[in-house]
Amino acid sequence: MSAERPKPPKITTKAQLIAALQEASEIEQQLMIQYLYAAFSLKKRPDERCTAAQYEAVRRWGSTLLLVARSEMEHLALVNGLLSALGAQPWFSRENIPRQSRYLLTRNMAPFKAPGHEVTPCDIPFVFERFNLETIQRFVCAESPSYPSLVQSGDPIPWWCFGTKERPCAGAALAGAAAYPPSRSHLLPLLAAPAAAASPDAEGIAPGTIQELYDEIQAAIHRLPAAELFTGDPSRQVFVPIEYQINIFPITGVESADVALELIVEEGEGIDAPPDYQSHFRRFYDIRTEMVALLAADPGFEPSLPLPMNPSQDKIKNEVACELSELFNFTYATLLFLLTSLYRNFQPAASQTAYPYFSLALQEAAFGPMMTMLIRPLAEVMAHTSSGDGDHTTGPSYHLSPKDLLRLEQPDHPQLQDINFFLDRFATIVTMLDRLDRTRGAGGLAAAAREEGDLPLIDRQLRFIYETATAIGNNLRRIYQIGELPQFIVAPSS
Amino acid sequence: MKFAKLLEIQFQGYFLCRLATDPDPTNEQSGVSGYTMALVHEDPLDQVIRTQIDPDFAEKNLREPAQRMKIRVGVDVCGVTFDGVTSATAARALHGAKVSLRGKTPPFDGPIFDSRNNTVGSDDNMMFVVNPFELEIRGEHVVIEATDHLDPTDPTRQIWQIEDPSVYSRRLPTAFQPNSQAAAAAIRVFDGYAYFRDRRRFLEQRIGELEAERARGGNRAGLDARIEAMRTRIYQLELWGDRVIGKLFFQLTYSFNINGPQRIAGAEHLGGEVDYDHPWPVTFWFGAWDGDLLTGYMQGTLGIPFQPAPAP
Repeated sequence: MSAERPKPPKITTKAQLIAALQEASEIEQQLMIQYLYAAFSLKKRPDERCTAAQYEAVRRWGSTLLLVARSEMEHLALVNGLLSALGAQPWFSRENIPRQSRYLLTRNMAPFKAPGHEVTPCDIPFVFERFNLETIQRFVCAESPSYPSLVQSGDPIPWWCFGTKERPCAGAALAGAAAYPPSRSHLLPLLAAPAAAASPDAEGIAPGTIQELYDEIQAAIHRLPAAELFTGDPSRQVFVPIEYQINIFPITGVESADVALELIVEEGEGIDAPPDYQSHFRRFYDIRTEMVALLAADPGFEPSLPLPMNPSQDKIKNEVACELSELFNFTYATLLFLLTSLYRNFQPAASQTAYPYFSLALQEAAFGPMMTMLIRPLAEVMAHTSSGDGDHTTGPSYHLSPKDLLRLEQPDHPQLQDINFFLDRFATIVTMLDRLDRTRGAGGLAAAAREEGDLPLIDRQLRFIYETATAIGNNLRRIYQIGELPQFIVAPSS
Repeated sequence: MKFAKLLEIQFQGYFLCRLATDPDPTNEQSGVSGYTMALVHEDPLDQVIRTQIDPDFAEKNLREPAQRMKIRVGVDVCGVTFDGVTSATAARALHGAKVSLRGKTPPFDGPIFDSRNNTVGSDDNMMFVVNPFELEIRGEHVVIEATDHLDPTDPTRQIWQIEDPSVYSRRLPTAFQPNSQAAAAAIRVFDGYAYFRDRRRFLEQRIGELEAERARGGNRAGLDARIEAMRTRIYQLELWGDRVIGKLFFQLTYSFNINGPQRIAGAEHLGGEVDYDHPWPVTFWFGAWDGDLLTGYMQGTLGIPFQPAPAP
């Protein structure tokens, strides 16, 4: 590896900027689902390898992981807000995991000179792994500022994220046993001539780190003429009032774009943040510190359930688990379709005064209902369901099929503008849940549960998810027909 | 018979509700990403609105310093009037009567603030349905029961099955006050920031006391758990800040005419005749929510169309 890396070329066209934002969108979604995977693997109660006191720490870690995952959702939303402001299509597509992101690949990041030795960032792959020390260390690295930024800010140095000649990167601990396929690039083909883009050296000409990517996006927004950039309709910006630490605000020009981009890097790496700011990096670093202390006091401590690494549906032997896995991926893809359509077709609620209330219907289904009441409970049920391989429970793979990906990359496709497409998908979700509910009713879950103590959770959750999915589908139809439902109208102040 | 004038039974008191909060799912039992949780020595979060609890339940689930603050969970009758004037006979009959919300909505074992994360109600707008609504007022000689159905044309339908939510929109709150004087006065707290600052200091002090007890050789595992539970409470207060503080003075008001069965055992003790044939109006509010103790205040009035017996 060379000691110096050429400075990446600047983004000079709107098309390159859009490509860079698509890459940013993919990274945010991929980070988010890794954090969710780890969060959903955490235990829901103390047991023989997790005392009551340890469980309180586990709960706080779960809270933090989910907070950071929500923050990544916010970043994903803001990046798509930026795309919308540029008049571009939303981008909720991504590659499946495992993957080696180009932005966390050593050879794309220059080593840094520290007094006495050269420090090299380690490869950080995108993988699905249950919560453990390796996982949280990897998360720290994924969110870590660059070495010079750490030195400048006085933040603790996560030494396991950087290798030196004396202490090389702990390859297996961070990267896993196998090399993972590299991530694609939307930007590279636009930065270099086609022949050069095919060359392995082409990697070095693009922004090398996530921080660099966002820096270059922000620089490009200032460099390119604003009137040519911001051609999207500002009244069609998706807006969510501030709650649960999420800020999704309209992006309408350079100033609001700056706020969005600075928020993303401040929340993630803590760049330019106030002292002791709780960035994703610091939150993960503190979890890691606490976990090391707990393990030192009790080496047998186990905070998570035995979810497999990089789950794949074809490895699941248990029939119920297989159905759950299929249902989860179908539901997750439905959510991404819904978000794609929402961002393409968004209209503020106040401006929707007549049938059809398409945007409103999508908006009322996407967030709390789908994310909180379907996706998360399904993942938690899976975490307590035996996969049938004798060792593991079932992890959600968030797998997007080639057909899913094609649809996500065509936001203009007529299907995504048609309420019946979404209603059909909800009908399929309810049918799959109904099938599982009958298995539940016939006592067929006992064989699927990880252990007997998990059966009440699986039993209770599956029924509840079925009921709620039915109600969500119903709301989707009703809101499309008549507009806002009574429960979503704020009651007057007395 | 049709009586216009009402025997009004006023009730008030603290309630307890071990509910999950957004962004946890409605039926979350442990509590992870919202600001409420079941600590390790407590029962799971079950969402049930409790206007009465027994000593064993209080011992396990009513957190300190509730007892020191003299918070007693119990909604009781506090007055009875007829056409606005105190009704001595009825007031005597219902003195100290206990108000309960009965019934259950599967999978929950009691009435809940139902919304299912913005599905059947709205967490964002505090538009919760108290579901089911089966009111019981139990005195020594009088038991009043009144049930309201979400869908009177089909009382067996569960909320998630009702396709047209306007069917039960009357059961949604009629008013929401984020900063209610009535709520503040009910719990005698007027500075929410100071209230929770004191709470935090109390928790830190208790952690210190428990750590000292541990150092003196107390039950390590039990003390560790209690210390960590207190740390989790502090973590939640720090993480959520205004979201918790802001709930202290909110008031959510409900008002509807009860459309289901209405019964009174021992009605003769009320001193008059009751009209069972027409809906009884009920108005009540929930509020003054302490998201750390999981307690709040309820105040309300049940109106019963009534005709007093003639004076002897």
